[in-house]
Amino acid sequence: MSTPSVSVNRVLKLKSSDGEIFEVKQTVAVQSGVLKQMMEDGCTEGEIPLNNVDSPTLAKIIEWCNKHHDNDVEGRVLSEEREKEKEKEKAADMKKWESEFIDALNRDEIYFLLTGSNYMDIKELLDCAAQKVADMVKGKTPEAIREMFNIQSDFTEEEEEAIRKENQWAFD
Amino acid sequence: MNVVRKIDHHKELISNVRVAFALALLARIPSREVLENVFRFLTSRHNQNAASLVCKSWCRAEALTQSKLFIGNYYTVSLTRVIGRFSQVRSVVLKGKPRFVDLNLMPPTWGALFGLWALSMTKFYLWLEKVCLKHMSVTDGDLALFAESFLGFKELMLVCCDGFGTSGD
Repeated sequence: MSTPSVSVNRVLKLKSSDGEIFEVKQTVAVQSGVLKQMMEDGCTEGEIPLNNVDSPTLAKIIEWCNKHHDNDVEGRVLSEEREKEKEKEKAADMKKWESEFIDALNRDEIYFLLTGSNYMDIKELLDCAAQKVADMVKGKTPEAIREMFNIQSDFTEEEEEAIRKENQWAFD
Repeated sequence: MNVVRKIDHHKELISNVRVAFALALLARIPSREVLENVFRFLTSRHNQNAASLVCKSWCRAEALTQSKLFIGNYYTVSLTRVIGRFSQVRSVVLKGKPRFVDLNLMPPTWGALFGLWALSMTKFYLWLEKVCLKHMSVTDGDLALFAESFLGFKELMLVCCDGFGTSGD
């Protein structure tokens, strides 16, 4: 995973939109595509402003990255078979941890996590959050979805009816 | 007294602005990119249809995640609306005349012309890869146009279609 410009002990200073500073090891931060690119370009001196991510969200994102990093580096020399078994166990543990992590968040927190991970380009977290939001949408009527996310419909009645008809007759 | 009233008025204004700001935050519409990520996980047509009816930005983002179009009834949609709504299409299934055409109950020249659709597809769906037509009238000209228009076309399937010859060159 490591690139020449990433050293184990160096930390990055990330500044959230509300001004809080978080220190993150470079080896953890590479999970973010944006930070990885910055490290490769050698422009990570000083504070890195993340204007679209507030401190509670950034804390959550870092918690996720730390967990996934720990999982990556924890390694002892084991027999090949034992190693495979261990891998499987780890993967299952991680899945469980991920679903607990996501399920513990409320609707707004998930939303911010979704936009934050998109902004920082953290693919696995983005997928996990997107899957969760998709699960929240599944099986609901448009009206129920609007209510859940507090969205005002900007369709005129005619527009909505036209799309409803198209959906019904053409695309089902 | 007047000054006090003015200050109160200003305070009220400021608090109104704050409320409006908070409401705007609550009603925030996620960016199209973020929505597209979510819609990738909506796999059933039923859920996708519901998402498309939430609001305009959801409708647009949902349409962008559709690479496959299935048009079960040629007569129920307008070509312009389909092209306007779905821009990332790579595969199209289009069904024309109703099923009872097989029973010889309809005159042979009865509509379901592919021509305009073919022309529009070559204009707007440059990346089209797969087309399946059923009960449509397809001319040799349509086929010739198709043959030379797309960048990565792979598969054309004609089921119970008529109107074309055997020339092909």
